[in-house]
Amino acid sequence: MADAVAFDWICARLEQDTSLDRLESRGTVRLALKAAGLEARSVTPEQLKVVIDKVLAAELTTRGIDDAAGLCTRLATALGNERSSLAGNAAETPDAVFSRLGGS
Amino acid sequence: MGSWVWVGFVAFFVVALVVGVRVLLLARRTRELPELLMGIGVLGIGPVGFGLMVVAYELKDAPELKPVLTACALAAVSSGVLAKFVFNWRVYHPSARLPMWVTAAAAAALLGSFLFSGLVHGFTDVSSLSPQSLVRTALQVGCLLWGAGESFVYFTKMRRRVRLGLADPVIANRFLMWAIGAFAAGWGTAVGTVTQIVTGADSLRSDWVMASSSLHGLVAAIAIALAFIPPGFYVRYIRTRAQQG
Repeated sequence: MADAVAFDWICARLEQDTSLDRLESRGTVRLALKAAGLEARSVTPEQLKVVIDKVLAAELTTRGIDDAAGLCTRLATALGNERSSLAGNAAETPDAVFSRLGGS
Repeated sequence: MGSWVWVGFVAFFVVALVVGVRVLLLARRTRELPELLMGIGVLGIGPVGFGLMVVAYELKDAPELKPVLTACALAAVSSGVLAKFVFNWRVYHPSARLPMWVTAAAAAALLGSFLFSGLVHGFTDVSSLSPQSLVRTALQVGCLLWGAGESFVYFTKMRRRVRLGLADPVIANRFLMWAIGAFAAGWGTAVGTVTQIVTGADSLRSDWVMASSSLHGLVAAIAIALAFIPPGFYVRYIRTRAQQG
């Protein structure tokens, strides 16, 4: 299954704004998503915002990126501006199914 | 062995009946496939399939009804097992090829087992140690343990999301409870069947097999109830514990 639009967007921004190449940026984001219990194929812009705010800065710092916190603030702002265009192809997730199964 | 041994069976029967009907009613409202599959799976393997099987087994007064009841029971169990295979594939790996092929192979084996029971034995052989029955039981154990594993793996992801405020702790707990419930049901079936193979004992006449199956049924009943019809105090406990980190 293809990765979510939001995932491709954040990877492209990291590649553009840092010294990380395509493989490194995608790997970094995948690790951040994994730490948050999320998957590249189904991450939504809302979930990605939380990952940027709470997880990504530490991953970027580990990879020697200067001012990771400032970069994450800029990424979060940019994500907020483009949120509507990034909500697209996220597949139905097991948690959506189990949420319905409980009647909630 | 006393009548207490039926406690687990009765608990499982009642919980599976309530949850299965509830989920099927939900499926009628939402028109979504996962709800339908879960409903068929829970009802087919549990109250309908197992219930009819026990009735067919114990039927003494009307032997002519035995093949009819056995056919209905086998159809229900086979439908339930297939529904669980499809659920595991469509919910957890909708675009993966291996789960699709595993599900297709299971469907073929279930159909073969059902036809063999009907065409060769006329649905009169209710022995759980016949080859066609062992195939069906293996698939039943397989779909339940597969579902339990998938649900537990997803629970570990949901637990991380809960810590970041990205998921509802009650839904995360639902994955854990379903994992425990499906595992208990699958493992209990496996233990009972292997014990029968080793000892040659009839499942409904062996105290230890009955006790083991009943205990696993009780665990499954409690876990499935907490997953899909949790009482208010349990929901409050889960939310409070999540807030405390």
